[in-house]
Amino acid sequence: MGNSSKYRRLSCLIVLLFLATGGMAAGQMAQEHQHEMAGMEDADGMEAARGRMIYEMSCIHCHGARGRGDGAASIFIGPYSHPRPNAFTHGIFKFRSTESGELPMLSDLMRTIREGIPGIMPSFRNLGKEQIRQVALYISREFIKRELPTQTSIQYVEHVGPYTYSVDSVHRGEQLYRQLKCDGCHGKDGKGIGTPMRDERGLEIHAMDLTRSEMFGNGSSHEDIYRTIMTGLDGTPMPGYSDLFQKKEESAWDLVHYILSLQGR
Amino acid sequence: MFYTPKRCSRLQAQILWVVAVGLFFIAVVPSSAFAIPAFARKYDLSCTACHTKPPRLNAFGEAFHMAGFQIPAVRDGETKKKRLIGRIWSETDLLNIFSLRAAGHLVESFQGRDKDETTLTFPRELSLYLAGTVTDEISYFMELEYENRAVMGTGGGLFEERSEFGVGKEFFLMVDLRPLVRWLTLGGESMEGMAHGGMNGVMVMGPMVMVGKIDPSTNFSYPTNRQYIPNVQGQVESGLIKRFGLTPYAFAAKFFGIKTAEGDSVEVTKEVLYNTPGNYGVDLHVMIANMMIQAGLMQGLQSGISDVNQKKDPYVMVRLNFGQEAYTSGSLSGLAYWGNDTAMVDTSLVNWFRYGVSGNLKYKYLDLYGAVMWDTIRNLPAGISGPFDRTAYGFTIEGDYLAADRWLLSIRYDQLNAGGFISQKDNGKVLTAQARFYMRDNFSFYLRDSHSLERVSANALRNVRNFVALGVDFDF
Repeated sequence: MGNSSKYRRLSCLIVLLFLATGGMAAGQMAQEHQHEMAGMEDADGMEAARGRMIYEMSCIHCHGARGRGDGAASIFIGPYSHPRPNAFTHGIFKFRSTESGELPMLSDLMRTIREGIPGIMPSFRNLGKEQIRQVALYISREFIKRELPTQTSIQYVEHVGPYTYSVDSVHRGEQLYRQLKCDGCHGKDGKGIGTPMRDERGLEIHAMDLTRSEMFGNGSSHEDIYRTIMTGLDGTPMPGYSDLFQKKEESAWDLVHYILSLQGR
Repeated sequence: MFYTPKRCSRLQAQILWVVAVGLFFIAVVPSSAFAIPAFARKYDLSCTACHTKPPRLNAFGEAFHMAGFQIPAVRDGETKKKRLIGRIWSETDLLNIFSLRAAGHLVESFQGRDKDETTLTFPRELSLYLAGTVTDEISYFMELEYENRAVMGTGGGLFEERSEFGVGKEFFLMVDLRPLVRWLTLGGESMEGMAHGGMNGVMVMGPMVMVGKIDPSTNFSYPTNRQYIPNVQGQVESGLIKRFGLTPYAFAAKFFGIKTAEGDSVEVTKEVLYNTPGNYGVDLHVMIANMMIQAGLMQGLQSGISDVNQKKDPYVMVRLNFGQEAYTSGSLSGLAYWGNDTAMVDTSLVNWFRYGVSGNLKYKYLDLYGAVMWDTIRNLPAGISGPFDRTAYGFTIEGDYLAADRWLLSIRYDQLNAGGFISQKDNGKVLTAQARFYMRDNFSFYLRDSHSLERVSANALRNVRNFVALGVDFDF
């Protein structure tokens, strides 16, 4: 009987200890949040504070509590190799509509959150536009901490008129593919070469297999491929070609058409 | 018909080992194939988005599970993108909800008190899972399982081995009660920031309720059903237990001579109570900031859906998460479980109280977790058939290290200070080492060695000195 009482007291103590510690931790976190929200009195600041709660539910596990891409789950996406979740604090972003080396626009962050990255990052489409914007604002204010550009110098022409698909366009694109030495990384057949490269973190990376559109991290639509060619993927060996294609957007579309042809599209 | 295990001659054993080693080396030949994970199809993610390596969950996987098999914060956030899997597009509905698993040993070798035994065997477990969302708030998980040579207790202190097919370890509905809470607290009015899990600036996930055949320990710092080192089945001869199975001893039944409330024998090493891989009950859990509170009622020790345990077994678990940066995360959990009339000693129903703590620390490729569980039998009647030790404890600690992209090394220590009838009981200490090779993220072979650190004896807990096995774990 004495023993039973002792065990009961001990277990109660354990549970109470956990409850108390957890309560204190939760209370402290609430205070921090309220303090932060008080400091974000402008409209975007309030939106960002709401974005934080979503970030803490979903994004923190990979991108980490401080946006350094060092969440506990981050390392398993590509153990010992590329990719890893982005470190927002480094200011290097693969997926942009801006020039290589520039920060992304808010709409770029929102697009990545909305679409996700096949195989790596889930799509958050069902969050809705408002909540996606809140998360993007939170990331920009809390981690990037610099003003995001609101426009890009890259000329994006629509896939209409002279820029539409044709067999001639594909042939011109194929020539460009050789001239620009795309085959040096992506291979003559677009399936990549076996030799690995390194990303900016020194991790092993392979050029994208251009025949597998479902794996394209920056999206696989005509416009997505066009944007990737123009901006490049910062942090990887893929350069941007916006300078080269300035005033020659038709040539950029030729290259897009050739890549599409590799996929039988 | 499935292959029935049989004992081999020395020559046969040698041949088997040559085959096993050959298989192992075939497995380690590098493959450039892409992983085709199971439920990841639906969300267009790789296995390692949620798993360190299957079957163990990483921090995101835990949050995904907690959110009712949904991307946290996103109501039924499945993507609509197509992905080609072989010749089938991933948006095919059936592919998005079902998964197959085959896991278990292919070759087993026991060395111990009796003569050495090497057997060729069939994977212990074949499962078909169905999981998904019925509505934004209701998720389901169903498992149909074929279990090969399961050791089952029968009356009179006897056991039997039988293969079973049916509802597997888990079979439940999970309901997100957040809309209900919002309706109760705010009278149906919306509240900015709460719609996606926040409340007054604090992240809140849930409350979620699980109903059915559940494994509440899935939220514990040491989840019973996420083992890299698989359980070893026991062996029965002529109705008597010849060898107890090998499981994480912290969660074992621990008491020699204990029975279910219906009078069936219970293996001393069987995972039971809160830490059962699946039993009928209701579970409620909520995550507030970095603290999870879980409480529930279980039907009781192997009670099935019968009403044999009319009092039911309540439990409470509190878990604190920490980390989430610098490649570090972890948790500490505390548990108390009250088993009311849940078991039997001789012919008397007894209460069974279990409590303990568990911890987990993940840092980069290292994953450490362990638990210590104390058990005590209460209201033991006078006049039972012999002296009975009412207390027991078990301790399990495991470390896993992803040594390379495809190699996972594990080591586990189990210690059991058993209770129960003094005339039967014995203690056990086992050290297990294992190497897993992942041909793909969803397909691995492993080679393990479990070594008893106690003197070998005739007791069914300690009559094996060394156990070696080659196994497979495959998910599609």
